[in-house]
Amino acid sequence: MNLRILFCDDDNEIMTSLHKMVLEYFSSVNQPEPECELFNSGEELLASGAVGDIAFLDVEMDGLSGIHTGERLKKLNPRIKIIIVTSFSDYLDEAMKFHVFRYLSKPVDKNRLFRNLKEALYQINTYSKSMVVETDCGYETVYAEDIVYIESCGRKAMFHTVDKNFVSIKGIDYWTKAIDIPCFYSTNRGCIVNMKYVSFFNENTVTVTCECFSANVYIARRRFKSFRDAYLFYVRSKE
Amino acid sequence: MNEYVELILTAVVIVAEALIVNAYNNYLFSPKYSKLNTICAYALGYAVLLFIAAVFNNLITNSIAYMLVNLIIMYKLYACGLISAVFHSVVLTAFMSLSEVLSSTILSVYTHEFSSYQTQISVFVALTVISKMIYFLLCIISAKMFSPRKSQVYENNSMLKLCVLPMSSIIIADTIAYISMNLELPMDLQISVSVCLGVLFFANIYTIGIYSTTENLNRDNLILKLARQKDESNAEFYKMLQEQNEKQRILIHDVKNHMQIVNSLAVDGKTDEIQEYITKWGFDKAFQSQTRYSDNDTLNLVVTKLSHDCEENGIDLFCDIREQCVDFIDDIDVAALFGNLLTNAFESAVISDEKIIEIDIQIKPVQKMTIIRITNSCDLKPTKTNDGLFISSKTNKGQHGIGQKSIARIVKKYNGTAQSYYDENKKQFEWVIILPMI
Repeated sequence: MNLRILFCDDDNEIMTSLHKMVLEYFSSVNQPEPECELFNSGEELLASGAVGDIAFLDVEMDGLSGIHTGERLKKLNPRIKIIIVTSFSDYLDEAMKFHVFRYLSKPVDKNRLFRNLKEALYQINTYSKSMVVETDCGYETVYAEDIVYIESCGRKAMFHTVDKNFVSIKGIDYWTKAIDIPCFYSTNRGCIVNMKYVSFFNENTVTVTCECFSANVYIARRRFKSFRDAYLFYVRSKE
Repeated sequence: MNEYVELILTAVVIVAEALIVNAYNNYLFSPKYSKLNTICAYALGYAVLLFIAAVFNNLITNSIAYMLVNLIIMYKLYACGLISAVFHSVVLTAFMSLSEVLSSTILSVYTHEFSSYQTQISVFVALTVISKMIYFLLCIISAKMFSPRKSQVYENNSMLKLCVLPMSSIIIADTIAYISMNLELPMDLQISVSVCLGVLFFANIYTIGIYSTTENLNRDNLILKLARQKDESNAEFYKMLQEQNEKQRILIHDVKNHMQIVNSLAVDGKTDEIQEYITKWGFDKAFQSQTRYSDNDTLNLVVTKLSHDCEENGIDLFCDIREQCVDFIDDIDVAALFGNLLTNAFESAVISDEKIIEIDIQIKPVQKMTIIRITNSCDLKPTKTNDGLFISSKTNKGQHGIGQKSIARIVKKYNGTAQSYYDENKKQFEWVIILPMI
């Protein structure tokens, strides 16, 4: 399925120029051209029911502002990457409060836009991947970014996700090899953590925390340094 | 041992005690008078003690005299209150008594009748050296405990580690006492051994005294350096204030001109022209509000200063600083941490071809974590030293690594993790700092 990108700005000239730059990026990295939809107001965008993977929203628009439009879009699709485009410093505080992926200043700097797009695509292509896990009762579909940690449970493996726990019929050894996503790290033979949820670590313990629970997992002493390096690498690739 | 020899030895012991008390007082208090006057006062005070010891030779009288002489010396020669002088003179007297008891206890391990051996010079000197070494040790520990000069900027416990010297000397003196008690040493050998013990004792006092002086000098130098940095910061601040005042003066002048033009247009009844003029006026850079980069005032100031410098030097600055991301860090640490990070970034970017600085501070509210990333152009590959620091391109070689040490100190204070990277392809230097929100 093609990537869908939404643009929303009441200034057609700026929006078209931004659209062109985005297409130029996809062409420069030899990626298939994304499906793009352009809107002149927040109301128009929301009324269309368009669902996107990335949205470029202008902050100051007549009617619904980019901030409020972004909030509504986020409710419809929590995985959407919202990039706020602004030229007004007064709006900066409000933009910071809102959970945006990045914000860009007008006039848009091409290099910065390309960097932000690269990061957004990296996250969409890796962390937003869905996977199917076979359990005793059937199959569970889970997004990689929703898995907090996986631990060994006899010959099976227990998945702890942000909203539920379930047991995979395949063991931890299988998942250690199968999960080839950079945000996962095997802290010991019986446990794989998602670095997105790491809230603390030292030479003995890694703490993972999500909104519903927090758990401490043991880290093998010899793996500490490589874990630290992997975690810093993960942080560098941007949240 | 005849009474003249005993008197000479007592005099030497009193000189040693005077040196120890002098070191103790110098460590704790600031002297009021010149070195010569202080030495004379000590000589007089301890001469009185020697006289009392020679005439009365009584433990209680000696102790009271010792306490009074030290009390007067502390109170008169040093910047020391009466209560403090009383307290410390009592402490010194108590240490003196304790050291006598402990030295006797150590030697009584070999024989309960060791006092009968004290007629031998070597045993007497060994016992005295052990006693005074213990006294010296107790004084060092006490001086460290009560030192008013403790500061966060300079905390060094090497002085306590140096206590291994008097401890080793105690063992040597103890062994010599044991040998002397078991072997009838000839008089010339006893004198040689006694002289050696005396030299060992004074070498101990000399070494620790020199170390203490050096430590004080280092501390004073550091305080001076910090004061100089503060002065430089103040000068920078006043310069900025002056620039701000100048901008304000120009702005007031411009406003007056604009008002005069609006007034003359109003007199002619040209309302459309007035509207057009005011609209244009609104786009004047001077009337636009300044960008706010962060909701934290200190960080905002640091980044605003950087943005001015970047603007003047053609550096592209990108900021993405999220709300409440550094609120758990003390203002002084925010200023030091970001001041150092951004100064280094600026100094590197300004001499690079592609001039970019990117500040990215994200927050993970659920994980209670702040992630700081500072990226800057850096054409010259920085060198990593053995202690993991990067040698920057600063022209002042003496300043190398001080900024990085300050960054490391703050990261450690907040139990964080920091790592720096250099991308040779992009020619970019990057700091990644993870700080748990306390």
